[in-house]
Amino acid sequence: MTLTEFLTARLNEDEAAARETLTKRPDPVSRAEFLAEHEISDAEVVRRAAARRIAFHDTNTWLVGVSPHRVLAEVEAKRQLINRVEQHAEFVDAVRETDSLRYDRVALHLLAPLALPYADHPDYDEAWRP
Amino acid sequence: MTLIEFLTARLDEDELVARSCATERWTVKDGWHDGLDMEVLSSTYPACIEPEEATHTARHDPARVLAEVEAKRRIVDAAQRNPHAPWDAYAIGRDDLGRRALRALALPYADHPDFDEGWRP
Repeated sequence: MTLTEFLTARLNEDEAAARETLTKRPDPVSRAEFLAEHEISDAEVVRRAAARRIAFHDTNTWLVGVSPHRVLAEVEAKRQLINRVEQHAEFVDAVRETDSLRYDRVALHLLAPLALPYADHPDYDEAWRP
Repeated sequence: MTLIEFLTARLDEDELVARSCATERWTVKDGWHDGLDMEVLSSTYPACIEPEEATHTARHDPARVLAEVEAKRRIVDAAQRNPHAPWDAYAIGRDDLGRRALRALALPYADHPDFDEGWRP
């Protein structure tokens, strides 16, 4: 299993779980809507979270990464990053096949960190650890 | 505000909020949540405390958020510390790969008031 295959599988899992949650219980409130509704700013949410821990009614768990909307946005961002690295690697290989600037080196810097949050998965290869 | 300043600020916020949670690990036990502060989530994001959502919620506990922050900081650091290698040597137009990577990382925060639409990939 390659690093990209591993990442793609984990992102598909994240996406599937988030979409299932949204299907069962649609969440109409985006982060921006939540902040507007409670008339608080991002900075204020963070300040309160720091001062009083998270246990207060007006902290949006979007900030903690639980919201399916946030998760889907993260999945999309990571897929774009993977696509760019793959396209770039193909470009580099096409330009100069013998160059040391091969996919592995690019992936080491830009993709390997993305796999870290899944390091406890049985398919994770310790060789990917940055 | 630069893209890197923006990303650094958002990652600092994510870390701060994750660290302020009462428990770091949320798990699923007997089909029900284990470890998370039900009082907090029930008042802020009710959908996430339903037992059928336990799997999704547990995937994104504070420990996971902290791991994501660490991963993204490494990418930001790599893009900053290695401006000429390995990807910048083959810059496509004015957008090198490091910058494209950072723009992708900024996407989840696109509704933040400091987000610059010029950063959108």
